Amino acid sequence: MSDVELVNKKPLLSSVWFVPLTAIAIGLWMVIQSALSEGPTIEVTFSTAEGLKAGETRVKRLSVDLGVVEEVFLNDGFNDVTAIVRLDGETQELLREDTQFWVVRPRIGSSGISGLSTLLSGAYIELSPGTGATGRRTFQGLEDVPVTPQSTPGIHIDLKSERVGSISIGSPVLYNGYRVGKVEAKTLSAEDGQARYQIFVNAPYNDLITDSTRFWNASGISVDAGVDGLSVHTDSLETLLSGGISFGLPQGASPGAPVQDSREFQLYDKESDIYENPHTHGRNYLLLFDSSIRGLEVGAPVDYRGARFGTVVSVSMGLLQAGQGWTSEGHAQMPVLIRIEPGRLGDDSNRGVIENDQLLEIAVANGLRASLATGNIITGRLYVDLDYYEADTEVKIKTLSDWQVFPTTTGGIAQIERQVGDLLKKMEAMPVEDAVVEATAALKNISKVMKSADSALDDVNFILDDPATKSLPKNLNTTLIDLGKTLRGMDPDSDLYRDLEATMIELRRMLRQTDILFKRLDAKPNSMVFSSDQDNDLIPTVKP
Amino acid sequence: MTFPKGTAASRGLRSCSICSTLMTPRQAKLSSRCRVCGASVSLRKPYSIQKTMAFLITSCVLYIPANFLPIMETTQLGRTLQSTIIQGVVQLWELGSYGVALVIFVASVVVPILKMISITWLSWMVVRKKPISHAKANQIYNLTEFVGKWSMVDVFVVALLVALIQFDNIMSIHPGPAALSFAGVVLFTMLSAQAFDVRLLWDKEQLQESDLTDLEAKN
Repeated sequence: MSDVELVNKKPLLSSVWFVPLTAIAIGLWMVIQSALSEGPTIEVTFSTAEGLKAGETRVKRLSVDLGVVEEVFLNDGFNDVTAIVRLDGETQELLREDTQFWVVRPRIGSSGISGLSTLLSGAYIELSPGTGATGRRTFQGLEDVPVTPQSTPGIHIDLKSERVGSISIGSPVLYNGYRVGKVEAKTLSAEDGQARYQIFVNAPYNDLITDSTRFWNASGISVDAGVDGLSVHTDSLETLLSGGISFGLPQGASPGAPVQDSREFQLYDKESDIYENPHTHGRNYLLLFDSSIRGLEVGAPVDYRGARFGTVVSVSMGLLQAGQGWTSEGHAQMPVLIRIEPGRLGDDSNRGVIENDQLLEIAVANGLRASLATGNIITGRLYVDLDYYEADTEVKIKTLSDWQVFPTTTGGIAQIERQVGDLLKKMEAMPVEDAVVEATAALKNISKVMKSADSALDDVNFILDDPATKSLPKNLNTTLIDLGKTLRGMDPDSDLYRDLEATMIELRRMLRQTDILFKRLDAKPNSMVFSSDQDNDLIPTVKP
Repeated sequence: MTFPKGTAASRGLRSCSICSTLMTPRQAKLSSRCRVCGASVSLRKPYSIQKTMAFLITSCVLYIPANFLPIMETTQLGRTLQSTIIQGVVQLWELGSYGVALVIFVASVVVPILKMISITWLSWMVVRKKPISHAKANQIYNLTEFVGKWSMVDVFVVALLVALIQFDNIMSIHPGPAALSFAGVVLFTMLSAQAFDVRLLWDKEQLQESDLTDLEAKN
């Protein structure tokens, strides 16, 4: 039997090599995929690394895990801490110019208690994307949780206040009692010692804030003891405890233009204070007075013919520079700075101020001057009065250094003095002596008249004393009685009356007869002569 | 291929690895299949070294993710921690469980590496031309076999921890991606050891004492 050699030609390489090749391929693919799905690396700087652990602390937004802190180290200056954070996948969109980072850890602060859940789960970094341009990779982390999430629609307003009051971060911002926003930040400025608050008003209420809006401190209770009695006012329990800010338009003010973000406003201490200065637009003028300005206080009103037109802003020698403030005769002048607010009498806007400037120029040429007038006689308080005096086109609003100088004239007490002086002069000019002489003559005449009147009275008395006059009343009485008798005789029951009555009846009958006669005559004039046809009366017959 | 004198292979005799039935060269020429059980019979395991090395390379490749990816995820009071094998060992050591830490270290690090090194060395010994010391080779081979039995300890540890510690947010353990990778490592080292035909070692020429002394004399 032939041996059939089974010659198996074996290939050099076994097919088993696919196994390691596959393993290597899978490994490489996993490495590449994880490298591709890696997100951007960013640097965030904090003031402390409390709660941050390299490799562990996560970065989240709305509780969604976005990345992890890879490294935590001190800055070059050893004052800050930098955390290197690696974010996952498609997070480039979140990293914008104004993206905010803060560490969520247990906090007890002015904004309340927050982050307690991190006691168990460990601190994490919260990310809040902004709305700016993308591409930023180094960030400054915030130390405090921002009170308002960034993307909330609304408006930020900066408020300036002299008193700090009881407003704290998180206090409500109210409009007519409704909560429309809250206080975000509170700082004390070292430059001017004023407190600054930053508030946030939610949309759509941010439309309520305009140029003319006024903000006031609505904290606590305000007690007013006035002419009407005692009034106690508080906004709400919340403002009573935690303080709050209210805003609104002063009564009678018109809403102005809408405001931009981060516009600065003044914060008034209480609601009534907003009426002190309801106008934002105005023009300052410098007044130079020859006389003493004692009694004129800052804040005193400036009246235009009795209507409030402005306010005294400043009374200070510092308004003038060396060499200024002397009249041509060598008298010293006192400077007073006033602010004319056209809004009080009309248009509260820039245009109103410009229109008012022109009007004032014309008025000055017509004699409008500023003077000091006494507001309160008891306290001696003065105010500035604008009124018309003699027109003089030569007098104009001048410019001195930076100020517009409004022409002044004397007024008030000085005015009275002048008037009294004028009066006295008039009195001097009067022809007093002649008047006195005439008066004396008149008096003499009067005394004559009086004398004759006196004698007339004596005569009257004489007549009255006469007995005949006395018996006069008696005679009159008798006459009256007789008259009464006579009248009784005319009584309807008396004979005379009856006779009269009968006569009257006869007369009437006669007249009636005559009347018939006249009628007959009238109908037939010749009936006196000819007898009239008389109709025979019809005799009724009986038919046979 | 020449086989050492006195071995069955030198006479062309081969046995079925399944039923141990002897097959003569004449029978082999007719069919490579065992006449009793039908299994494929060959003098030596075909592609033994190639398979050994292939599987070993695979297990080496898989060993990298097994060490760098987290093998388990520990959630403690809401805090989630992912740890690799080495991190786990360190944590256990720091916690005071020295025994457990040691066990895991040995089973996860020492054993696989040892096995890889020894299999590589054995393959190298087969491939190179020089004679080898059969005794030493056998020792190493026995070591490999012995150690191989304990390869899966680490996987069992993870499995037990995951199964027992499940208290949701207070304390719970979940397996990580490295567990799968590590199981692959163990599997492929097992396959690698199994593919290695130990007879190849015996085929090699025995290193003679005289060769050793010659070598020593040379140096």
